[in-house]
Amino acid sequence: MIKIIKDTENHLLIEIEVSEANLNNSDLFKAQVIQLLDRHEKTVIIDFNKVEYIDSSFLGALVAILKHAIGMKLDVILVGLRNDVHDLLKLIRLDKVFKIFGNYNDAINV
Amino acid sequence: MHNKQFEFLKSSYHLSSDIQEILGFINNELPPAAPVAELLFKAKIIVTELLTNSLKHAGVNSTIINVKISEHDLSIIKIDFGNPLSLIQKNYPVNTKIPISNDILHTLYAILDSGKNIHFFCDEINMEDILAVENIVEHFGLLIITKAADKFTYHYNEQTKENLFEITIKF
Repeated sequence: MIKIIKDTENHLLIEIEVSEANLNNSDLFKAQVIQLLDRHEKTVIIDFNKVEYIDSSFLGALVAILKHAIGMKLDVILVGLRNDVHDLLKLIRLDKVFKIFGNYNDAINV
Repeated sequence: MHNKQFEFLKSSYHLSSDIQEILGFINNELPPAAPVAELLFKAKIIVTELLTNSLKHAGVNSTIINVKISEHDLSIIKIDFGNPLSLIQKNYPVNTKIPISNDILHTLYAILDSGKNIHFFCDEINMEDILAVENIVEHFGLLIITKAADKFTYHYNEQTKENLFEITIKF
């Protein structure tokens, strides 16, 4: 479901390994990322480059993860979103609450 | 007017290919002057949420999606015979704006008309406290459809147990 790409002092970079992010995998995704937050206590950068399609269940999981991170005074950053996925986040204004960057380098150079 | 009905059996749902089948029809039948990319994006997220709703909530064996394309309208109608939306069990007053979901980003409203149709619409909220993330809802299905559509109506027929979701996008 997810793969750790990079583990630095300040953050984890993880990649979603499925192309369809939907109700079939949203609960597993949420559990895995929350486990990473609890274990590593670092901000998580999530790379969506493989995700072609996302539904409301997966968006709900993302928001639950962000709430968990903020409760730990950490953050969740999204990178590599395809246009349709980014447009859906913008439609429901989740771009106002997530930090979103084109790619990993843009995210860490802010 | 172009019209096509699609039926999906829950036992053989393949969300991605089911959605592509519907989008393929829409893409082929839209008038040349229509904003194709915008309409396909909206249709994709609406159909995704309609089929996801059937899988997740309704307890149904099959779902019918009916697509109608006219000169300036794209209509997507979903019919199933599963559990009705929980809104139906609440005795809302007729023609009154009822907030059914509220967070720092949106208020989603339902209005029940005298024909027992529920109409959905939403307001965007000017965020004062961007850090109040714990306030954000985690259920986006109805909101996504409401925001992608120009008109979104739900009707439950108590006699036949039919759930009918009707969405119109104007172009």
